[in-house]
Amino acid sequence: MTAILIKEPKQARSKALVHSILETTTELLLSHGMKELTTNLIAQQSGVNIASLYQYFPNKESIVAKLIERHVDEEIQRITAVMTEVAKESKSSGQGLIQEKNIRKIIKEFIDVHTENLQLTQLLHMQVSHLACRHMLQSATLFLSTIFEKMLDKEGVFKGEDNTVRAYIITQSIDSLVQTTLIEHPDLFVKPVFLEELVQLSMRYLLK
Amino acid sequence: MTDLKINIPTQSRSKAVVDAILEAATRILIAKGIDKLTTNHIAEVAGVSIGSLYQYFANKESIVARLIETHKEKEFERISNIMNQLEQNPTCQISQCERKKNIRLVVNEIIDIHTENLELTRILHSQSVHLSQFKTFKNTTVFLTQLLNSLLDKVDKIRGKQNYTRAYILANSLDSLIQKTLIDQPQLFIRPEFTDELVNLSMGYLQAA
Repeated sequence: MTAILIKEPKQARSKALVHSILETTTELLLSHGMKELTTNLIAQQSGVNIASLYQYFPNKESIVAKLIERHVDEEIQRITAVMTEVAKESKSSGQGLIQEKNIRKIIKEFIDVHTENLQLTQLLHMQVSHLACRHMLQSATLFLSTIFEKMLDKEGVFKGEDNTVRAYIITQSIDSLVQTTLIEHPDLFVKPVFLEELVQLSMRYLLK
Repeated sequence: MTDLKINIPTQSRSKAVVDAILEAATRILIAKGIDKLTTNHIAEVAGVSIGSLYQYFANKESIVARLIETHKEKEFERISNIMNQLEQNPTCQISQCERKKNIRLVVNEIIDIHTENLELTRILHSQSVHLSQFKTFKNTTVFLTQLLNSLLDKVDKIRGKQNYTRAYILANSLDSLIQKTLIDQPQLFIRPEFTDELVNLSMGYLQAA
């Protein structure tokens, strides 16, 4: 009993500590940028002892990497939620999954995840190649690819075929368009034509 | 005149030195990979003194950067040649069948540029990601977008204003698919299926709405 009691608050406290480090790092990234970010500044601003910070993170890079991981997790969670909703609707209406409105919903969610906090997402994405975190983003891409592959396997002209390459092609296109646009062309995100063109690209390819 | 006489031999000698360095670096890259590339090794293979090498290049990164630039220039030249041919060829406006042939021509050319020396191209592409922290390379997507935009404006007047967005979307998809597949999945890159699917993606997208 005692052991548990002693451990419990510790866990909650350590969780709170990590949370506070991550939140402070987010704020500092936005206000100061990566170059001026230091572990000392993070510790100071979050009111955490620098030694405690080093118990959880070896350096500032690992904190930013954690933020990227969190961003990818959120991406996957939100796309899963939309996908579940789309699948439910499709089941109750008896219509297939490869519908323009469904594809639009999925792509819109994918864009929204990246644009709702545009500046932060930009900063995190720019750090990805520096921090060797490409594999993290790839897990989100892979996830999206599985969704498209399942759709193609189940219905449409390519039903029953090996759709790995097709799913890969469409996912990479959407993913890289969103990533490149994020860094080089963020003005395009606000134009409805951007979403529409991505939907057209996908629909025409999936239904060829 | 006098100036020219003095400069030409010097220039051609320095060009020969630079060429020898670049050639040696290419050979080492293909045979041994980026980790074994050192300025000393390059100088030795090129038959150039290390002192001369440092007259032209600050470090091995700047040599690799130059190789990437040369590769990009060749790539751009070949892509713009084939696009120019298409632009001048009125048949690309006629039938869907001609169109598919033309799209295949462009996609094939882009793939060929990369597969003719696959190993070297892979090394240069993955290095360009690292070196882009220090140096900006010409952006293939931007270049391809311009060419496609001008082609679309000529042959496809239906959606006029949106041609830029369409060109951007297609150029970005093609370029990123080629880059990622080249690095992550070279075995898929050389399969004819890959070219076919890039053609299908482009064809589907460019079909009139």
